[in-house]
Parts: sequence; C-alpha cells; structure tokens
Amino acid sequence: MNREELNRLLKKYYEGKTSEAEELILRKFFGEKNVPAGFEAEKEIFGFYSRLKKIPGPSHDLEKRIIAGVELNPPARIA
Amino acid sequence: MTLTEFNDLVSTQSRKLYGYAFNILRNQEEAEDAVQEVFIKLWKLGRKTEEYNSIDALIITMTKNHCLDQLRKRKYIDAENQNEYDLTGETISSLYEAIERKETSDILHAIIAQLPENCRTIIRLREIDGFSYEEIAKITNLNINNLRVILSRARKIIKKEYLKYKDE
Repeated sequence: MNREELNRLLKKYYEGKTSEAEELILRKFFGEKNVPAGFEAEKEIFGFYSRLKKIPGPSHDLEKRIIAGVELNPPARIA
Repeated sequence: MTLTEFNDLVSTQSRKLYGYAFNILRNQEEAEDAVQEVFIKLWKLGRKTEEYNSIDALIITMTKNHCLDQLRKRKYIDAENQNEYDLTGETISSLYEAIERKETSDILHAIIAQLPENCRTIIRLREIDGFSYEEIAKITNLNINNLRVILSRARKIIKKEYLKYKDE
C-alpha cells in the first residue's frame, strides 16, 4: 500500500468511517514487519489489538485452582 | 501477607499475569501453570514479601523469570506452526521483543481503561472482540452512525494518549 492510500484509509479510520473490509486491510498492513516511518503509533496500537485477540482466555476456575494449590503449601515462618 | 490480602491479589492480578505469561510461553496450559507456580512461590515467601516495596512489581518479575526458566528447560515449541526450535538466537530475540511489547501493552491497557465507558465498550467490541458494526449496534442499542461517532472519538483519544505516554 502506498503512503497516500495509507493516509487516506487512516483518516477514514480515525473518523470512524472505515468499512469492516478496510479495517481488515489496515490490520493486516500493520501486522507486517516493515511499516513505513511515521506510522509507528499505528503499528503499536494495531499490534496490541491483534495480540489481545490471539490470547485465549484462561480457564474460568484459574483463581480457584491457585488458591487450592496454595493451601497445600504453608508460608515460610520467620524464626 | 494475610490470607485475605493474598486472595485479593489472586483475584486482581491472576488474569493480568496470565496474559503476561502467555505472551512469553504462547501456550494456555503452560501460562496458567506459570501463574499458579508464581503464586505458590509468593505465598511460600510469607513475611519476606514485606521486604519488597511493590508486590505487583515483584509478581511480574517472578512471572517473567519463571517463564524464562520454563523456556530454557524445554525445547521451545512454536504454538502457531508447531515447529520445534532449540532456544536459538532468533527465539531469544523474539522473546525479548515480547517483553518489550509488554510495556507498550501496559500503556495501552491503561489508556483503554481510562476511556469514558461508552468509548471503552465500543473499542473492546470492535477492535478486540471483532464484532461487526451491525452486531455492535444490537449489543449496545445504538444506531450505527452514533456508534461510529463514539468509535472515532475513542480512536483519536487512544492515539493522542499513546503519543503522550511515549514522549514522556
């Protein structure tokens, strides 16, 4: 994507006027390694959203299991 | 640390630590185990935890170290393409990139958490959960034009705040 097209899409993006397809184009573009200078913030922000998407939620009982595991291990006592 | 304080810490920090561990280990089960191990270690420290200024910082460091140990112990299996790697230079550098990225993630998490509620909801639904505009309209009871106005505001705030943090 050339700089002109990128600026056009980003302008629409910040105005809340991009289509879903255009947002997908932006997301893919910023997911690539070489992003032109001047778009570092977008690379970080889009990258952040993509990473959050990729993280599967932990088990619903994670906290419960932690507490259960801990109860079997008494804390150290200071003599 | 009392049991109540400890339980509070588990309920407020587990998921954050899980995300942190997942970024390094790229595996759900291992990331959950890492968080559990860290809390057991923390609990075993008992009153020694009083020697630390910030428990939040301590558990992040403990999680990072634990995950790095795990990676050193095992062959690193790339979760995405199932190729096996030894812990080569490339893997190590991507690991440190993951840790660097984590700082950016902290900043962006904080920015999103501070957005006005309607902005935050719509950013989550659109940018993170990936719902379509139509679905978001249904979920929020807003018409598409209104939700686009809110989304525009949210996107602009996020960029502005992000640049502000980065410059500091």
